[in-house]
Amino acid sequence: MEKDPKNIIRDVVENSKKINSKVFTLTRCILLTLMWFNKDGLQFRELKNILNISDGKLKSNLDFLQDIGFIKRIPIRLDQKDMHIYMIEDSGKNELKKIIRWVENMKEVEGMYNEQSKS
Amino acid sequence: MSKVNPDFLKVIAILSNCKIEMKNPKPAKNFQTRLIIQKIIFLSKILGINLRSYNFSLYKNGPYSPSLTADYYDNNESIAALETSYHLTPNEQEIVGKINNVVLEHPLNIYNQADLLEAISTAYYIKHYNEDILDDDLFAKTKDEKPFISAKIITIAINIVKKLRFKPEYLTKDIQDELDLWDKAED
Repeated sequence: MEKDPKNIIRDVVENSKKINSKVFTLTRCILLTLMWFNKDGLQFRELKNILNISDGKLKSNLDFLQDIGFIKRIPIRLDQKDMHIYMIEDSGKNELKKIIRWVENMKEVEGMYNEQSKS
Repeated sequence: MSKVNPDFLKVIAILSNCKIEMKNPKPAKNFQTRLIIQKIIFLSKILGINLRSYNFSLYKNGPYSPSLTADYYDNNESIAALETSYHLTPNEQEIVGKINNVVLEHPLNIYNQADLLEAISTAYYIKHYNEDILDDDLFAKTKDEKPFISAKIITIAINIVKKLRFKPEYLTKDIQDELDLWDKAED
């Protein structure tokens, strides 16, 4: 059954309110996505290489996500060197799911627009 | 208990035949253990062991298989105990033997195991999908993927990749004669 266009727009607006706007930045979304994909955890040096941003910017974003409990920082020993890995927490996954759901709402708007263009 | 993926039983058999010492063999508890498993299983697959359940992708953090990760988190105890009903075939044993001889017995594997395995698996992946790539370009691409690994380790890793990919039929009499000459020169 087709969704009422009015409800589609309502969902876009209402679901946007469920998202933590401080997490909805490009860097933080990518960090959470990478950690969700790589369940084993990622090292700081790997994240830096993937995102190609400064140490300071990466550190402040990681600290923020850690402070709100979306990721955890775990000490490891690798090749006789003390390091840390970053892993996503369930709350971080839930936040990403909210963002994905919201983007799906946006997709529905695109579908609605395409349908109207055809008719 | 849910049924264990048959490919995962093979994974355990591969690891139990490998010359590796894992400080904490439970993957869920130790990052280095997880890294070792990912890289050794990647090498096993790319060298010809049939492990259809596990697809590896490469993007900056070395070849990685999420489905393999899921399996070792779900079977943390059995992999720590290296319990499996699967026995490697002679061909699979030969591949694992090659990994032991060429990779795990390499002196760098003692103190630089993580970096060495990362570099070998990354260079192998790149070479596998770019057969004609030149050594200098392979070095550059591997370094681009893993900038924090030293040039020395990457160079050694590329040589190890050559040894892993080498097939006995490549060794013609002419090449053997030339190698003998080089050996004599080194003496």
